[in-house]
Amino acid sequence: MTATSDVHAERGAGTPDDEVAIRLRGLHKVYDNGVVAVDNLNLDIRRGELVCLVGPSGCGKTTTMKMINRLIMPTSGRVEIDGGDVGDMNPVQLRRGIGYVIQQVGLFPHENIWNNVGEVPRLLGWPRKRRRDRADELLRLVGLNPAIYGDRYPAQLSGGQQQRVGVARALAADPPVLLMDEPFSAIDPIARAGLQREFIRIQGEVRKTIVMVTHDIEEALFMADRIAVFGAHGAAEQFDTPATILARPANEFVEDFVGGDRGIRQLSVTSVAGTALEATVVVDRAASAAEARAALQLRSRDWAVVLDEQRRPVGWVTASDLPDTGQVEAVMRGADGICVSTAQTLRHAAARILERDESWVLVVDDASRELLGALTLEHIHSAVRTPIGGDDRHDNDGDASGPADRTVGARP
Amino acid sequence: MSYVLSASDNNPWFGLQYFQYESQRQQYLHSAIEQVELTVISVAIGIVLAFAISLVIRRFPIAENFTIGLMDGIYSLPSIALFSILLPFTGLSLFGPIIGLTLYTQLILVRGFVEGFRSVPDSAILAADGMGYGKIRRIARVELRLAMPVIISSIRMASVSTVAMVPVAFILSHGGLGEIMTLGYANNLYRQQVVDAVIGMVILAILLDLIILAIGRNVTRWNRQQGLVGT
Repeated sequence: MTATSDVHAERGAGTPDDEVAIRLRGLHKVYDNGVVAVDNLNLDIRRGELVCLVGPSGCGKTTTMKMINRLIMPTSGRVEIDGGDVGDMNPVQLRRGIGYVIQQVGLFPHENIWNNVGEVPRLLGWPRKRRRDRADELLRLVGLNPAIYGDRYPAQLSGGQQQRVGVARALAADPPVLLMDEPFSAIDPIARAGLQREFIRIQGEVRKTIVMVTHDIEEALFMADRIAVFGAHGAAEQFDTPATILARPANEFVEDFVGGDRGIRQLSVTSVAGTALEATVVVDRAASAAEARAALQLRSRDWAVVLDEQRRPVGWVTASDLPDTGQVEAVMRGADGICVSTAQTLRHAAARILERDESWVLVVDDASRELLGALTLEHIHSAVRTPIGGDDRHDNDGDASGPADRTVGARP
Repeated sequence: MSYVLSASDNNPWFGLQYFQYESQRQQYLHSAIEQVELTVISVAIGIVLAFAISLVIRRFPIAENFTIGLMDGIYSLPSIALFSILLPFTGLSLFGPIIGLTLYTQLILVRGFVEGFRSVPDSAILAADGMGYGKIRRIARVELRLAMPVIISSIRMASVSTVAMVPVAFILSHGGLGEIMTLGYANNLYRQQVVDAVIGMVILAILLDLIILAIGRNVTRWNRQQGLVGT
């Protein structure tokens, strides 16, 4: 075991029990030929989290995943699901409660799509009507029209469509846990990107605990909430969020595995939420030009954001735009293309800035569209250099951003 | 009253004179039924036996070469010799021909089952295991179904070859239509009798083949659907 996995084992042990869906403790697998596939692995996977196991071939990531549903028995160590040791469970019953998606899809060629999706419900003894309704629901969820595809056979579908069915089948009995073994790697690159995006959407709806094996670091960075990077000998070198793995690779191995251009790629996985923002001068849309000019002079700025009553940006003005008399609203420039939301990534923000003549974009709250502040390339730069930690991607919308300067809002 | 051909009689290859006597019609029908019985029973037992053997081979792959070799050996035994060997043990009961015929089906059928199981995609097996199929359920509902195209074609081959093998069992006096044929030879080479027996066997073989084909197409419908849309 490496020093890094020790560190993370300790951190993992600190996760409250009721948040942990899958717990791997001292997991060890030696094959009959003496090859050590997994070496004393400790991981805690939280409920509703998508964890990617990533690493070079032969690193033990697939073995680790297969020990969760007992397709492979560990040599020593434990796998717990919701606190129960899977070693004590009947493997057949256990697997019916865990969704399973494999690279080769593995649909049954002799069953039509409806029956393929309804396999596990059939094993669980659901009546026919309920199986069919559930299959219809899931086919729609994965973007296939049941009326068109339901009675087809797998060989009549494209590879991408087959894997959609594979995902639907895994979700059929609504298992809390999903295991996915390189689910998208056999699909052509264009369809793959679409499927990855779509799967993230589906995960947003179903919120399963997902363990996904991949050798593709890009896929892991794009899809995972957290990534476990496996070293050559079945040990986890680092287990952390994509942003942290890019920003602070635990060691040279992880750094090499993640590859070059880390700074650029980090932009894609770092949310705008949580990045430090700059306060801007704001004026009410009903303000007069004179009031706006006074506000700008007071702050020694040359531009201001125009807000509506809900503090949503409706435009912006520069000092030179402002006439001697009249209203701000009459001369302001439109707000089109100058905003990014907290749900977007720094990459979106950077692209938006580069498209514009100005050196900033406005950040608005994803839900309320309220102004939070302005973001410049300097902010993006420093965000990448001093990355945010662990879970900030999900839960600190706006906390770190300075509120827009409210004092200047002039009233008519 | 059966017709005895004398050497001077007109002896054409084709015709229906053989069937003009009630006793000969009865005998022909009896022999044809026996032929069907022997074929169906032997192939049926052969299927069960071959399935069992193929399961053993699947479990212990090391047994495959030995088993197939043994089947090859049995198949290369001249059938007349095999039936003769069986005679002292089974007498003239139906067991003799059934044991012999069943043994001869095994080379084809065991191969068929083994190759059939081998044709099942690994991904389907992995998926079945991952979904929570027990072993027996997996064999019955996944593997056997997917192996069916190969198994069915081996069953067709085995039944046709069994139809052709039945006549040799005349040695145990259960030769089906072979009895009619043999009697025809003995009866001054009564050509019509021989040819009618052969025609009967060919018709039986074709009918049996068509029936199995129909059953096969029914249980492997998915296999033909695949071709409809290219992927």
